[in-house]
Amino acid sequence: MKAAMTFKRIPMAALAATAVLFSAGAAARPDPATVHTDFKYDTTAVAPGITTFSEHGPSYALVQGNITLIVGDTSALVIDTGQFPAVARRVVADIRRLTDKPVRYVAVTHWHFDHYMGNAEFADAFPGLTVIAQTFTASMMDKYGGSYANYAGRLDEQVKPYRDMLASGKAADGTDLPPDRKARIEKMLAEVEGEKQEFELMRYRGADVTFENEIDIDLGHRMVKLMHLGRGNTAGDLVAYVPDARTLITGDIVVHPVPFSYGSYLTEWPVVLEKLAAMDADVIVPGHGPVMRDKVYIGKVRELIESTFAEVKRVWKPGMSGDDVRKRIDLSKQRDAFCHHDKTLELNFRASIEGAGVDRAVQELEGKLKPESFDP
Amino acid sequence: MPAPIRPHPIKTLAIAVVLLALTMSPGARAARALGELELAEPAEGAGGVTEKAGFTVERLGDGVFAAIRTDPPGLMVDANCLFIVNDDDVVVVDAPEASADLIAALRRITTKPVSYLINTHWHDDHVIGNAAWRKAYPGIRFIAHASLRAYLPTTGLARRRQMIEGAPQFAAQMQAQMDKGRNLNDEPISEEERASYASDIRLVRHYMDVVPGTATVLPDLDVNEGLTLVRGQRRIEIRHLGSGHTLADLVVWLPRERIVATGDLVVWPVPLVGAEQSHVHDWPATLDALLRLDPAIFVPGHGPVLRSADYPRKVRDLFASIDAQVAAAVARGATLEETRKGVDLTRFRDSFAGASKVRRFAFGMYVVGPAVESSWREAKQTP
Repeated sequence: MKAAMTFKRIPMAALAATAVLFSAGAAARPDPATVHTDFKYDTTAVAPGITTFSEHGPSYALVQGNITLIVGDTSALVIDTGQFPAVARRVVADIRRLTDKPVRYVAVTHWHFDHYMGNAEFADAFPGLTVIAQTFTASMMDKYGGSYANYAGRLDEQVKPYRDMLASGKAADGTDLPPDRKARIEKMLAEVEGEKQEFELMRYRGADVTFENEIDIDLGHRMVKLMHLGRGNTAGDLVAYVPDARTLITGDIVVHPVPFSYGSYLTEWPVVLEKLAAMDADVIVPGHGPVMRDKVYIGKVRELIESTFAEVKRVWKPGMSGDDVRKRIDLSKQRDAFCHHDKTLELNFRASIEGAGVDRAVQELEGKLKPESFDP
Repeated sequence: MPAPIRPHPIKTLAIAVVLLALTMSPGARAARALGELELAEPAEGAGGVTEKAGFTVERLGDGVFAAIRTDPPGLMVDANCLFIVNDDDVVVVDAPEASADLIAALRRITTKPVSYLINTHWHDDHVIGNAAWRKAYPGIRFIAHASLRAYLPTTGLARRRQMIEGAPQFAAQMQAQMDKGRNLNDEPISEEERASYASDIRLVRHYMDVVPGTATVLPDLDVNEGLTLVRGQRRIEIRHLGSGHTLADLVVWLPRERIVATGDLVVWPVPLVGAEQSHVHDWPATLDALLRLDPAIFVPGHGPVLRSADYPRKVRDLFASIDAQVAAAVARGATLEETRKGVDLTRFRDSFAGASKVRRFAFGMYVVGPAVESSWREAKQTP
């Protein structure tokens, strides 16, 4: 989510990992029916009556969280609605083909907007829809949800350096642009054109129901528990648990292939992951990435977060900045374990864990955790 | 409530197969006679909506209407109901036996659909109307404490069956006593008692019309602590502040309007306690939490709208006194029967019931007996 900060550090990774790009909102709102973003997603049968729509990666600009449909005998619940309104419309059409039960509930896992900007499309499609979020999440949605259209013009500004690189054939440091990087930039810029249109379609739809720790929903012979298990990825993380299907939908507490730690709580997050690991479930739907059939990856994420914090703590002394710490720590083992020497994943890892994650660890050690925010 | 419970040791006629609740809203005169209540004046625009069905609708604030029972106090009750009319929809608190008439009353106020209904606890006079509300508003969602899901199909159903079996018998006995000109203690019947019995008989008849053929409708949204409904500018906070009348008690709080619907945590003119279901030990703390909200208007589960905290505070003091007296008795090793004899509630009985025979009878039946027992069980930790 943190565009400004990550753009500075590792611009490509910022695009890949966060897709926080800004709208050319000054233009008139396009006809939604004519917007056909080049965004591909996979449809996975998770368990009986549970389907996940997840981004068909890898993608550079167009990123959104997984959308999961849970159907009961009388009604259906959708966990997260993604970032892109036109994509949400496609998912709604898919849902209508999958079930004749009305979607009566949407639950938002957290306030990052690649998880809820499709809400308005679902509300249009299913009158009387109830949108549910944890209290903190609901307040952050209210704070930022209506503002994305105000980022008019910033998108082109953000990607201008890349257009310049293509024009000159030179990278920022003056060296020749390698062909593989040139191809990545071309793909990203093409996707940005589609994303601009999606931003123009965005309308804010906030929560109807907010809760602190747990509410349970009866979908008709199927209960779903919506739980806030503590601070992790954000201070309002929601986890959905379907006991009869032994399925957990985690939001960005679990992100594959590289965990996402912007604005996160590094000492509390492992506690949440332990709670997830202790639950009677064997199907895990992460916030991003493919559906998992065991809890191995949850353990891997917990080890990563714990060891990252421990490594920062090992070197940190009062007065040290994140950059000071970064010069002294070694997270290469963790990086290899998640990235397997894949260059793109490594860029993500350096931005999310070694960048934002280390900064958050330093803030915790200073006793000055900054409030979560979206400041482009 | 009407929650039938096991036969109670109180020695009255053999009517006690039903622990019928107690209600009250005889109108301002009786309340003033008691000298401690401020009754809601009927508001303009809504005061005219008087129902034959046994309730009047009072406007409490912008879009907030209470349907308040008008039955005289007695052993049988139906519950109050609250309509919260928002920008685009309506939120309702409680689904009494009179829900068909309540739906008609609401439709005279607004054509907006009801999207949520909160059951403040699991007793039939607060949940049996769910089926009628769903039929009238198919998009409605019911919100209740998570314990209803297990309670309603088991204990709740068993008690409903007991009630269906026992209530007509109870009404027949009351009618027989009235015909003989005697009260339930076989003394000459007073006018107050006659009106009360007649009301009880009407309510039993209505109960038998509505309940036996009605299916249980479980909640859609289960809460343990609560949730908040966001309807345009309106915030509707649904909170479990602790146990009291039952362990499923929810209150519905409108922070901007400072109106709270208390469910049966607050019942007028005499509290309503179940020996097996209530939690007298916890009740004062739960009411303290309610009072900390600093409501300007209390809509009790039964009884008139209260515009001061005096009565809820008195209920709190009553239970705190019972609990303290029982705890002291238990510490001395007293049995339940010894404890009953030792607890002195004379001051409270006078304060709650005054000289009214009906209220004094109700106070014995619904407070002294069950509250001491509830508190004693909790003190002995033998639930």
